[in-house]
Amino acid sequence: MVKWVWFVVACCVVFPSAQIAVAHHGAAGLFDTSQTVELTGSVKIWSFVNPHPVLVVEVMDEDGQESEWDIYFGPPGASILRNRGYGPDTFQFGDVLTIQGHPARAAGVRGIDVFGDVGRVMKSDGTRIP
Amino acid sequence: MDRASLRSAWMVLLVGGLSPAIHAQQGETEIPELTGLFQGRRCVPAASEVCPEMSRDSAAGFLTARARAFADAFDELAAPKYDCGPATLPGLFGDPYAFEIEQLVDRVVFTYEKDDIIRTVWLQEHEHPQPSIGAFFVHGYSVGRYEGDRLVVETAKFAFDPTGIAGDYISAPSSTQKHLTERYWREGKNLRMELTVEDPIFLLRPVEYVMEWQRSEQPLTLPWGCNPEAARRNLQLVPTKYPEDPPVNRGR
Repeated sequence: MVKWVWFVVACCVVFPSAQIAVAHHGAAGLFDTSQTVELTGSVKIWSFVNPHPVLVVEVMDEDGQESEWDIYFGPPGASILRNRGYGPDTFQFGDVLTIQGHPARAAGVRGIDVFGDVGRVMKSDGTRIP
Repeated sequence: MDRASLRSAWMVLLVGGLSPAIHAQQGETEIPELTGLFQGRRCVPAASEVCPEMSRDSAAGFLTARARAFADAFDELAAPKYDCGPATLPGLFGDPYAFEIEQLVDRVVFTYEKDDIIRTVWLQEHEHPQPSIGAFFVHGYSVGRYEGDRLVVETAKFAFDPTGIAGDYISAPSSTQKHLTERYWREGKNLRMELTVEDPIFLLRPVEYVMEWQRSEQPLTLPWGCNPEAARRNLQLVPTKYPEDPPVNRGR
């Protein structure tokens, strides 16, 4: 299930450093920070590698069609994300997650950036990860 | 002096001379203590138009017309990082990863967590062999010297680099004429570096800034072990500028 949540984003004003960090590594403008999307799906791939970890979630839409969504963690590599509590075993195949973040701008790309202020990854019981 | 004392004296000289780490004097110059692990880079001052990397807005004041034309034409798809090409200089300094400095008798070794990069700075006065005229390197060829409380590193012999001036906000190239001067010193527990980047082909004037890192006790997380498939994943977010070209299969 994918929900699109529209609201005025204040993060760029309140958290300018986050905006700078997102811009690093060419991510500036790659995600639409004026929108927030939320989806629920199950983990298909979790690979805790450099330069950026890979999390792919399988999502079923209202018509019963399955699609894969790439979850982006911004510029940090594995060593920095490890300091934030992520690790090779953070996600297991089949884990049901609810994910919120900014959607990719590129046409036809199913991607969400969870690095920014609105980004969050939660278990099915609402517990935030990590 | 008897033979045993003489042998002991020679051993002291030999061991002292070959000791891997140096903490004392070299000739008359006091060598600054720079050996250690560092992390948490920040720009000094924090507000800078070029630190940790040149911004799109500041580029016009620094880049030559040919650099701007190159940046306009450059397709992100051609960036070496999508094949796990290592971060280059000075962009590497802007990456928020830890690194280690090891001061040896005749060289200083920088080991960066990012991309498993190891730079050797060959200290002058040790008659190291010079690279040949036709040799160019991704991270250049570095020579160093101690000046007062500073380590001064001069790096040249860079290979042409499509993102060698700036790679993230803009794709500004650097030429085989790129020259870096790094000056390192201790500011209390912290490490500071004053950087000057020159490139008469792609820069109108030198890029200069100061960065600072905090001392760290945490060992480097090595190896970096870049995964090409993960590196290429971000490319799907960036449409090519040249859709009329055949698609690129990077899987070889």
